[in-house]
Amino acid sequence: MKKEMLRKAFGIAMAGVMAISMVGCGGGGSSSAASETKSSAAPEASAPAEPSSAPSEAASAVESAVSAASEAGTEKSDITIGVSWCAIESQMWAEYQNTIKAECESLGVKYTESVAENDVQKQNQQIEDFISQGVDAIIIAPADGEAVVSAIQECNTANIPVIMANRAAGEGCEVYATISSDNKAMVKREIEYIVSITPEGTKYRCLELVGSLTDVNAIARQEGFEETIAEYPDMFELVSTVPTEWKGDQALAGVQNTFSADDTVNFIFSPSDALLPSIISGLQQLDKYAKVGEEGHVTLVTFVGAADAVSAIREGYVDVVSVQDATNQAKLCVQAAVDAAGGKEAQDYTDAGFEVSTQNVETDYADFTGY
Amino acid sequence: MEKVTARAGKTADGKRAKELFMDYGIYVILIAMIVFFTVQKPNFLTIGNILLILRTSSVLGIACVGMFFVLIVAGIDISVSMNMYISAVVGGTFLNNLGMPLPVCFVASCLCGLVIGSINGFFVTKVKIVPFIVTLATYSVARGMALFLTNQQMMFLDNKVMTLASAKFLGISAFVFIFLGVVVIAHIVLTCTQFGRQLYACGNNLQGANKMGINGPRTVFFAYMICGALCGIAGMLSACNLGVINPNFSQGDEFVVISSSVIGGASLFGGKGRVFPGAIIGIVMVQAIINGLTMIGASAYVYTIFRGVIIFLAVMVDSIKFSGEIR
Repeated sequence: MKKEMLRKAFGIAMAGVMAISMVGCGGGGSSSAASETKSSAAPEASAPAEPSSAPSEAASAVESAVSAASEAGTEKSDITIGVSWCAIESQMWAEYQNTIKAECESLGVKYTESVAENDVQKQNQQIEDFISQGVDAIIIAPADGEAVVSAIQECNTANIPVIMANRAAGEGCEVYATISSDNKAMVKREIEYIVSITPEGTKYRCLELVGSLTDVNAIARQEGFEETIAEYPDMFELVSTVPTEWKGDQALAGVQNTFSADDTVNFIFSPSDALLPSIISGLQQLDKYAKVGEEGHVTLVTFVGAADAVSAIREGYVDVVSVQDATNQAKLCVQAAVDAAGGKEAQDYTDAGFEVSTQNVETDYADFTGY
Repeated sequence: MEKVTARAGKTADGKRAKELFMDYGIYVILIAMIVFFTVQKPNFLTIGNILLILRTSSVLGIACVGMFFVLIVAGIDISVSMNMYISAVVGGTFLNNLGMPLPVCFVASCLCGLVIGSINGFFVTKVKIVPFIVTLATYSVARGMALFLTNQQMMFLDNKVMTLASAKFLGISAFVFIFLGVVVIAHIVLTCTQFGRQLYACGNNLQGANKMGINGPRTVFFAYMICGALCGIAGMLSACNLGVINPNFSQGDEFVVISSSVIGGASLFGGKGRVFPGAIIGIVMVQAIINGLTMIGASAYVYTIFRGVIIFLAVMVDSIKFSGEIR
């Protein structure tokens, strides 16, 4: 622990020296890292597997892909994959990043990455850098699926296959494969779950938090929520819709402002677990943080499947989370990239996800801790 | 002759009306906004909601007070948001890893912010680099350091921060008292001390201030230092409020802080601004709009439009004010 702190302190000191020496130039920019694997041979992957609805099934899908790749037995040490991240701003993206790194190492492919910090121009520039580096395939987790189209078009011109991670690209470009979640259907299912356990005559007055308005996933989750509650007008009433840009402070202000306007709100939909700590903080400050079944409980429905959300479900404070399998998706991205570099065909993969709720967390998902 | 006199009279009246609007227009807009939201949602104008608006204004309000100091000396600090981020991370590390009591964590955050403010001040005053570029660089460095320290992960704070976040006195959040305390101290410093007068003098005419015997560079340096220290406190307060520090912590807040300061009467051209009531009015107005929009159930897209309009209006009014001045 001390060594780790010392290492970081040294790193910061060096960064400080660099910053001081560069400050006149107004330096700054994205972080980037590169790692090379030690193994020289690795199996070639096949096309991404079929959608799965539970972690075990997802894992077996990847295993089958890897085993199929083993049969091909192609040398992979000369393949380089570039990964362009929008930002690593939640547990899901951290899991994605760690898994891609680990998968590249296990398959023996070179790996280089850049983080755009949600700056679409920076991300396009970083993708162009990958093109000039001559990488064999690029995995893109876009900050904005539409804004990244021009950079993908350049990849198309340079014959570099592109794999979209978790978010689809806009129209006007060709992508090799899109690995994403069925956001809309997943949200619909978790709302249907709430409907199924709710006693007749219950009325939910809802606060809906929205992620970034330029994020296709955020919009899909918003649509999924609004369309489903519209099917049950006697049960749900949408009181307020608050944009958060995935920021905790805006989620907190949204919760506080909504309850100030209407104290009878008893349902919050969060489009990401990243906002959950702020929502909980808001409810605690309002003395409205009660367990399921307790008086004054505010029904909490969230998305992603982070460890703190699953833990809150175990404790009985959060009702349900729709889990997208970031680990599996990340593995499939790497597999697709390796396939693409090997000239094979691939298919899109849509993660069907699964729901963890207060009813099944100790039975069906007793071993699931989230990420 | 009469026509000429009448035209001159009309021009003078027009100029006076323009000046009046520039000076008091913000209050008219504020009142109009309050009336609009109250008509739409009567409980907008309740004591509870007013206190909530004050509470949500408190964190960025403290950073606003710091920004006033910098704007008064004709500077600008783009790094406020990332200063808040790194300071919160430092305070959070003291809390989580070293188990320090909350006041010590605040001191650590304040010192971290002060160091960043000092770096800004040093490069602006000694190396003579344009403030925008210096603070843009420190913005990037501070963000990079914070991401490095947290491994780009969310940092969950010890649950004892909720004690502060939920603390109330006479039904009013402790955050509001901290904010008002900072405003009062800053107001006294700016209006009742020699240092305060020197700040205005440097902002109006730095060379002239130097000729008068004021140590201009030192005064400007202190302005950046104070801004940094207040951002450190604001960062830690925000972290306590949220209970977590996300990798996108306070991202984009620099625009809210700068626009709120300008709305509150500070000038991007320096030499102007009163922390009381300016800083309060500026940040409260921005937060009241967000509060009001949430209350009336406005579309998610309307928020973005309003934010843009606020920044545009603030800068436009400031530019019109400045265009009529001779310095």
